[in-house]
Amino acid sequence: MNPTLTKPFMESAQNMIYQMAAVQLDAEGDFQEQQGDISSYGVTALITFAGALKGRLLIDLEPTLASEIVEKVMGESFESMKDPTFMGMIGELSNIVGGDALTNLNNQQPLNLRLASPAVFLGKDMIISIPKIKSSTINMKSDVGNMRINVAFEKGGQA
Amino acid sequence: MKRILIVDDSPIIHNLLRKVLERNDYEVCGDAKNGKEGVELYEELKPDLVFMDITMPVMEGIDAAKIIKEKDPNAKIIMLSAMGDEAIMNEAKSIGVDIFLKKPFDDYKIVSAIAKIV
Repeated sequence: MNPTLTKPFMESAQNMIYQMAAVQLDAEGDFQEQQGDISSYGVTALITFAGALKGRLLIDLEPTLASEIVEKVMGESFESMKDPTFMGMIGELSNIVGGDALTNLNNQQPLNLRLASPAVFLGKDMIISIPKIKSSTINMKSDVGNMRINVAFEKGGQA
Repeated sequence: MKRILIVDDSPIIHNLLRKVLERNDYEVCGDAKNGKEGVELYEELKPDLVFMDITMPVMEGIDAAKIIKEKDPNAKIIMLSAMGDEAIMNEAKSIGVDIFLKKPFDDYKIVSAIAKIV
């Protein structure tokens, strides 16, 4: 996949999560085409976008990393990741990371990409199947846990 | 104490923004979860300032801000959005939005923006 489309998502994840929670994320290599299904880390957010292109962003975090980010931003800890505030914050995280990435893409080329509302899933080793569309994944690590970003684009959005 | 209306479809943003505003001595006088509710609450509450998201169900923030500004040209509106590309910012500016802020935010970003217009 064209790195000019994928790289902004990695950079936005690093920048936004550092701004929000002072967690430093380091990329492990570059985006690679996703081969086969993804087995989830435990906390997963999915957000779609559309414009001159259509696509979606998937952010998958280990629970330790997700908890660190939520606790830093909200200023409190949560007994369960099922707490609506915890899940809402993960959704907002994907909105902010996706929004920043699309802002950068829109400023580079007239794509007019706009976000939809995010969905959040909890569960370790959920199988995330990605048929019919090519996607790319990058793994990122921090002192408090790992995450991966998976990005997919397809043509067909409104011009 | 200045009274502020928050319009955003995310309960998390209401929660976080309310904390920032209240610890800096502002009163949150209303919470709306979409642009339509925001317009209705603006007319009812007449706040000193509105924080308005862009992407929301029912009515988006740009449309809501436009209606509020048409009804009350002196309305003070700060757009607060995850998106901040030039096209969106220009559209917001064209309808008279006072300040455009991009999420995430902290106390300094919010308080500085308010101080510029209220």
